Amino acid sequence: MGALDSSPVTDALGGRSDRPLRWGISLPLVAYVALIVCVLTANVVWLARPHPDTGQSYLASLYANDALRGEIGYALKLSMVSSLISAIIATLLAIPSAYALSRLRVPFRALIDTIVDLPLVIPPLIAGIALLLFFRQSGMGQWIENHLLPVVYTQQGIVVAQFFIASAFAIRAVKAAFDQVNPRFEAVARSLGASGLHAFVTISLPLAKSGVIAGFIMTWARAIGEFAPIMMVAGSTPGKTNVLPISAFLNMSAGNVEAAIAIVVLMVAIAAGTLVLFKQLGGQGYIW
Amino acid sequence: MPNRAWIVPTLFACGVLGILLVGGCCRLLPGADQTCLLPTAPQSATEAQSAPAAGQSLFLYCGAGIRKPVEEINALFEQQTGVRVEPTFTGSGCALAQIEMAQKGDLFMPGEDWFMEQAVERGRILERRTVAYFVPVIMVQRGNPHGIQELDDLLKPGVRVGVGEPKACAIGHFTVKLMELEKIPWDELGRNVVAHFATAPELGNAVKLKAVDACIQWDSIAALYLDDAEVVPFAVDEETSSAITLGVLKTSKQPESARSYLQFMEGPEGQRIFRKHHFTLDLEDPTFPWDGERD
Amino acid sequence: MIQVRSLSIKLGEFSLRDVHLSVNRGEYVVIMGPTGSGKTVLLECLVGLYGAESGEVWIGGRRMDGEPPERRGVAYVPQDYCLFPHMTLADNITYGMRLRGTPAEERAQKLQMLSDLLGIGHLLDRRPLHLSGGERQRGALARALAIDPDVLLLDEPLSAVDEYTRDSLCEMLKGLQRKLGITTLHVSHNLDEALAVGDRIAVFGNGTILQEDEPCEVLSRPANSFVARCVGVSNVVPGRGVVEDGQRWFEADGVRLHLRSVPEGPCVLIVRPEHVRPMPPGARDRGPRMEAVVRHRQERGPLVWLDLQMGGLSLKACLPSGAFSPDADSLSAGTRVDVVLPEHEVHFAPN
Repeated sequence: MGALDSSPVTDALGGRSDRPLRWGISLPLVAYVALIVCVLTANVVWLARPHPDTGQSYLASLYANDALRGEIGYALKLSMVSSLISAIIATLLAIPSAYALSRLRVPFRALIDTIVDLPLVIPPLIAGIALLLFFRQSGMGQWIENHLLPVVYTQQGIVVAQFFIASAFAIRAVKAAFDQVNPRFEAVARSLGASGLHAFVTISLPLAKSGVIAGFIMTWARAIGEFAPIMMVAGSTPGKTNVLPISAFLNMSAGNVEAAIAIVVLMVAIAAGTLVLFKQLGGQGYIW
Repeated sequence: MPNRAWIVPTLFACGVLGILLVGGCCRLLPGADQTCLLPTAPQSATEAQSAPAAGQSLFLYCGAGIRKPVEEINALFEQQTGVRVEPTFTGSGCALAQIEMAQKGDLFMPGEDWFMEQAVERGRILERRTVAYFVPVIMVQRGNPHGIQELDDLLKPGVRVGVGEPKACAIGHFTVKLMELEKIPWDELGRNVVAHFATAPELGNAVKLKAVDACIQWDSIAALYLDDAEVVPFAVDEETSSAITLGVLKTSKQPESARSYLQFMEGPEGQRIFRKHHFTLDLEDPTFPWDGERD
Repeated sequence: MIQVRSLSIKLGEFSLRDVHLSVNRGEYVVIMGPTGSGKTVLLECLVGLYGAESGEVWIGGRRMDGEPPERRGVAYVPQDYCLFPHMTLADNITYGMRLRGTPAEERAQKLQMLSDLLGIGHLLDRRPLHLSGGERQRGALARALAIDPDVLLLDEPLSAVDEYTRDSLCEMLKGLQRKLGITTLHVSHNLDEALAVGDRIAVFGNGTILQEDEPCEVLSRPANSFVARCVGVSNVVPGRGVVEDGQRWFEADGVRLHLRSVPEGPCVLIVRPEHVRPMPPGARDRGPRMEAVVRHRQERGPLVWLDLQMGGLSLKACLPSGAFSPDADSLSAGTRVDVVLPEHEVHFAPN
């Protein structure tokens, strides 16, 4: 619904005598932001340092390396495509799921709630192992692999791993949004003649819009950063399943720290850009 | 505002349809592990030129540290035989777990013999060959500021030493062995040790990033850092060297192709590529001391 | 039009037990009761939000128990109006019409008609956020009326409105209802409101309808002390009826009142303050008289309130002041008076 900003009291600490208090409160925020900025700057500066023999900056030499550029370019595309797909599927599934959790009298609600949150809490590597085991060692998983969709060591495996870990974010955010929508709105809509579905689509969903968008963003952000489960389930095959974090790992393992750091900087830039874009589209959210 | 109740169920149906389509198209393409998000990207010039034979592809679990020679070998192999080798570069422990659980794949090259031994013990290996060796050397920062010339110099005060974690990686395990053979008490070395590392590349990165001053490292991995570090070789011993073994997995559905890959790697072309990437092929003739003649 | 029979439901802390209600077509019924007694739950059952555990709901001759809200033809204006915040007022009002596929011209016409009727024509492009309470209320009303409902349910529509505006709004509601002829159920806890708009009053308490009747009947003959308190009767005296030597007496607090209509056994005496007639002693005989003393006198605008003490029993009397009742001035505190209780205005109820 959005906060009512018609209240005149928006800055309770606006007076002159409050200045020291304002500074005190802002200090942790400033420190945290400064930390992030300093870490990122240090990485960029290190990359830009010149090579002791050639004098060219490492950054430039990385860029000149066609093979590396190709690899990272591919990783970028793969990361974006897979994470967007994961986030879209997760959000689509989250909408009815969150509505059920929020509004319907679901049996064993507490248990279901806990299970939904599990993938968030399990360490990603463990989740990856568990997924791999499921798809290759269990009857149901094997049936899926053989008759529905091959998952292990495929590109679809990337989406499956990302979805498994990150979709809980979507459900949580959308549920929080629905919790905040007064159920009476739907009741009134229905009394005016709307069917349950129509009331949901025209009333509840638009009112929960910012939660849906927040859920999408968080899921996407988590999905694009996934590493261990993707390595376990999809493998880390350059040119096929190397998403950006895996590319960073591969380069680190080959001693090419510069390439890994370049990927770090690249991911930060993408994340920043995409976050800004999504926020423009979504307005205020429940987490932001 | 028009009646838009149909949007959500339609979106939903589209989403589900999309998933099925993505899955469905995979069934139609030849071969099981297909690419439905993006087409595969060729990894080198030679690979780009070759046309893969439909359905022929070998899956290789490979240690991350031996990526460079393996990728080159794969490209050449594909060019010559039309069989594509698809590697996945993971930590070796990870690969072992994957082999156990996925029960899928053709080849295993852990890069640390220890893991190969474990795989053999579990009965996963059909046949194996040694294709190269890891020989330990001392790796120091560029310029060798502490003037380290031999193993005992690692005990010099003020030298920050990094070691591989003996339980996590072979280099760590072999470092312990080396110290025993050289009769250097582990505790004495321990006074200079600042950190343990889980893998050999991490150890190398630590030297490069100047987090440690020196470490004992595998020769070919140290060779990755020749821009930022220096190698101080010492006497090579069979006991302290690790064989790099390639094994054909019992779960392979194409054991013949896998065997031919094995032979290729062992053969002159494979060996030439290993040498090019500073791998020791013969314990009599280690990579270091580097005399600049190899290529 | 509406028939509720033996409706029972338990919803958290609220429960309805054996509710009976019947509303004729075109009638305006006010459901009165203390706040938090579950009146909203009753309305929501009629809307169709909850299924009752037992009982029946009939609307317009059709049994509505299992029907979903969209098929009941019942328009609901909740207590907080619930205008859809993401739509303009015009879109809110036309929501129901758009659902039914009403052509655009007809929609515009109806929108015009309703907004003229309710005086909100200049607000149609605003969002609910930017409307005042009264404007929102009228908007919600327009939205409900736009679908030509069979039944209109209003949940405390005027509770958030100040005293002054309430009168004009009551007038507007009543006028609107008469003009459109829609069967209306209006929930309130305010007696003045109920009296201003209601054709009939249903008093709700303890989870059920305690009395349902025309306003004057409920006011003068409340079914029990709870109802009496709800409708503002301040003279509720518990006691017992005694028959002695063929004479009937009401006995309470050590005082005996000779009243022929008192039933035997424990009961409650209920008489409206305006029917308690204090007179100077010795005035002409008009009915059974009891002696009393004026303990307290309060001038409240057009009325004078007197606390009368008859031995251990106290009653309140209410007289018009000044020009309408020359005697009233003489009844100051401490005066002795004779109290007349006209038999037909005295009412007895079970406790």
